[in-house]
Amino acid sequence: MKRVKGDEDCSSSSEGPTESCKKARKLQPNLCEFGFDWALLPQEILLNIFQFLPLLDRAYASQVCRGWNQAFHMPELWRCFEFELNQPASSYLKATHPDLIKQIIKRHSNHLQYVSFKVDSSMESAEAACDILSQLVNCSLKTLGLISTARPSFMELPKSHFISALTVVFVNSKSLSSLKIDDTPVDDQSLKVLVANNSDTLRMLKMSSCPHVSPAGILCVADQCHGLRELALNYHLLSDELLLALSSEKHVHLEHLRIDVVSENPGQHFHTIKKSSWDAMVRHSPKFNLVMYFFLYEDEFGPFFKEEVPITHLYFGRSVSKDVLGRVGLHCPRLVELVVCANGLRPLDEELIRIAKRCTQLSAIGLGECEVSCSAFVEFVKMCGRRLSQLSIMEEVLIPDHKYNLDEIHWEVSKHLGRVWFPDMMPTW
Amino acid sequence: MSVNSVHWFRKGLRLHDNPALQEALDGADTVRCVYILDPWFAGSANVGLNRWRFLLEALEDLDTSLRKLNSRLFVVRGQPTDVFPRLFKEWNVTRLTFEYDSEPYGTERDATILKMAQDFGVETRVRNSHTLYKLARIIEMNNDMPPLTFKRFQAIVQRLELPKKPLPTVTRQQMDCCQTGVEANHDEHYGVPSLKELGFKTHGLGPTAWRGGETEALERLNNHMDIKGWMANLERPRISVSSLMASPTGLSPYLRFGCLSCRTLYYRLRELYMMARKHCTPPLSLFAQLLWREFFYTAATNNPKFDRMEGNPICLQIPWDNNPEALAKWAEGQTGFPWIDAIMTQLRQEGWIHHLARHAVACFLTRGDLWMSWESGMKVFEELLLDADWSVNAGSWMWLSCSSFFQQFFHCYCPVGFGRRTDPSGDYIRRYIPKLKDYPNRYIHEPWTAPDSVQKATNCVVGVDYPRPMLNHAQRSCLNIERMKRVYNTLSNYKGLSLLGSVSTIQEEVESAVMTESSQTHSNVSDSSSHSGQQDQMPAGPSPPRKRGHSPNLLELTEWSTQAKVHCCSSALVGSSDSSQQ
Repeated sequence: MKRVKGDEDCSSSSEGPTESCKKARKLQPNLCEFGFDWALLPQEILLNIFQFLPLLDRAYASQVCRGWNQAFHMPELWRCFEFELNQPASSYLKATHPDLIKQIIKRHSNHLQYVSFKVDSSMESAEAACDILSQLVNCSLKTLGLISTARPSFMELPKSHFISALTVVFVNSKSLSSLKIDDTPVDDQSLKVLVANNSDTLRMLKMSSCPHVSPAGILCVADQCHGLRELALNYHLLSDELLLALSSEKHVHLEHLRIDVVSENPGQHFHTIKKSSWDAMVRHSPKFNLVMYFFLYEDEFGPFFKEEVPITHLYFGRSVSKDVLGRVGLHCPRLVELVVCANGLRPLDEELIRIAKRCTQLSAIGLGECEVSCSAFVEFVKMCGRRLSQLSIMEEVLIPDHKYNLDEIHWEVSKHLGRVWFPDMMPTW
Repeated sequence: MSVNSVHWFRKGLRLHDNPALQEALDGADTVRCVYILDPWFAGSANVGLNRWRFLLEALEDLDTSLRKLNSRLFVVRGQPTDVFPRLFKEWNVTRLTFEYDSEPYGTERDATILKMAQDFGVETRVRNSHTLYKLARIIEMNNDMPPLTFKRFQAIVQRLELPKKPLPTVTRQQMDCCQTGVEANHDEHYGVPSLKELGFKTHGLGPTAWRGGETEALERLNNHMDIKGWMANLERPRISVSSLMASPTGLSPYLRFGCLSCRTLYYRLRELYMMARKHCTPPLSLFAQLLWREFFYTAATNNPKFDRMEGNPICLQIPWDNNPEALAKWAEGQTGFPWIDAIMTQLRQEGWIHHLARHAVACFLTRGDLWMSWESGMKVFEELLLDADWSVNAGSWMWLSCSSFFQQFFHCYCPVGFGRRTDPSGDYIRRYIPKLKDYPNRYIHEPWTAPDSVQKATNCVVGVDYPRPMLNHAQRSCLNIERMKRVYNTLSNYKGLSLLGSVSTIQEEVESAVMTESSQTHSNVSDSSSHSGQQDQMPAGPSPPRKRGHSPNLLELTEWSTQAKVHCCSSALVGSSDSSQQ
């Protein structure tokens, strides 16, 4: 350790040598240039600083001295944790160290409140996640997220194994507020357990692509969990009863409802939801967002958009017909964002104009493999005006006509938008 | 003192518009043109048979052209660091010339050779002719950063003067002023190797659709310009089945190897346009292909990690899956989706596919369906694709997988639908997957949906004669769009519901692109405006630190958002991650 000015002054003072040496020794080890001793830093300040450090740096800091080691283990630093479980054979990412995991379970499991698991596509990772879950007996979790970063490996586990691990958390937590269990083999029974223990606190439930859940299972959740504000599920779980339960008097206002409509087999039939159920939802929660993502074949859209539906965010992940887009214009007055992956090679001029006219809340639109004539597009933008904060149009969409060519159109559009705009491009190499 | 020049061919395999070669001839007493090739590495390098064949044909063509000028091509076996000392001594070399290579690997190799030449007292002359412009100039004009959006790149190019005019081809007169000492056993020592010598089996190898060499390139150039309705096509090139087939006027492999000078092409296009349009200035869109190529070269030149995800400052760290089995199915055209399989088959057989076909297979491998790393796809293309240059290949893959360049990721190419719309008659599929030729149009893009009777009648049963589809596209794209959204939301700390809003557009780049384009309108757009022009997308928390005029790179955004998240643990947890936790 460098001898600092203070020391020299000390040793050249008029005090006896022994005393000044003692003083010097005391001051020396932790002295910095301002004469301040890091070891005297109060725990609250340490905590504040440690909260800014990434875990690895914090771990290094904890090796410096006992005081900092104690600070490292303060409960406040262990409220949040994300377990990253990856196998080298199936992922490029690093995993959370197994020793660290052991430490956490041993010393901090009762501090954990906000936990997520990120697993890759290998079954081992999913198993490891379940393993950890089963040991969280002393935990009172507020948030739990099970996230598959690649293929849904939770689905490959034996169902009972997964369910029992998950149930440990449901039973012990009793104050779960957020639960994200998409792409898992969760079933109706485990949802019952969830509800039995957490009905007062549950606010968010995301369970898209959970094939073992039935409409009755999710209905149970809606009936009991009156604080539910955000819900994400697949269309097959949606029912009139569910919507009515979510709009019952006892229920809080719903904020977001996200629905994925996915075609498992070509020519699949989808049930319809009554307009009255949607109306009830809107009456009960006038500001709620209805987000629907469609992954259907063109001929599977029969049951949809035949009547008014309060969709706010709409995504078509596969080709959608002109006819359906026309119906969207007619029946989606609350539409805020429309994203169309593909349509096919007939111009969508009329449909777009109708959407501009009738979807007065529209502020974002994305068009992929579609065709729109330049004049119609300019008309569309003119009608929407500055409310269009997101306009993402692939360059090939715009068809030059007698009024505008490709080089002129971006000026016209920019004018009406009130900001500089260009279409999206793809390399043509 | 006699001047003994050596011109080192690497790319730039041509005699027209070759300033470095002209420098070699300038006042020289002897000149030798060399190409250095190591047959030992031929087998291990990630270069497939078609690419080698193209290269060897190009070298043969050079040799033939040089013969007409009373000279020869010297193909020297070995590595440059071993070969040059030997040649410098043997031929008493006083001057070494070569065309500038902008790629990081190239500049490193060349630095070594330049130093070596200096040590031997050999004068060196390096000239730029593989790209339209000096890339360093473009970077300089963009505040010392390569432009990361194509629009910005175009805006900068528009401010530059026209590219250097192409030089004429080397003439007999020029060569007569210098000699080439050709020995009797030239073919033995310095002849162009055959595919066999490089270890390839050539039995049953059919003729190629893409003949290598400068002669072929120039002929194609002439035909390219003569296409009837070329001008009409310019307005709105519509893709049809014929566009998917190997084009007899396609030029991309020739540009990659330098058999055709990009500047020659540029000026021919310009000339033709101005003739047809009565001297109107051509729009930038006329040179789209050339500019995309230039864009990727510029983006790559100062970034040695450009071809990978890890440690690449402009590449998003996306948690791709690692699955060699699935990759093999894709690479070998065994996915069970005829559109994808036909494209990969054409690629393997011929070495070229249309750019929309590239989009389709790249999307399928990465963000669309298989969720695998773009690096694996890039390596397959590197092996098979004739025009896959390091910079352009890596850059295109990053772009198509939405790993960089601020791309919206919502548009997914359906392996059935996109194929059906591009190839409605199924001719393309029948050509490259002959097994399926008897399938009616209705089923050919998704043969697994055909009833058993139909399948049997075509003698190609799915699951037996042709693989089942390896995944359910609807389910996969549903999963994947969610994953992309999560990656982007984490990056921009965006918590809203908008799919489009997850991607931060660099409004500043767009605006300053326009500013440079036209100095009059859109005044007072400040450089330090916030980085998202959209309303409901403003991330909570402090703005990222902005250097003046400095476009944020993705790494900056990540670093900033990671810091911001460390102390907002209690918010909606999912989607926020401290990825440096270990």
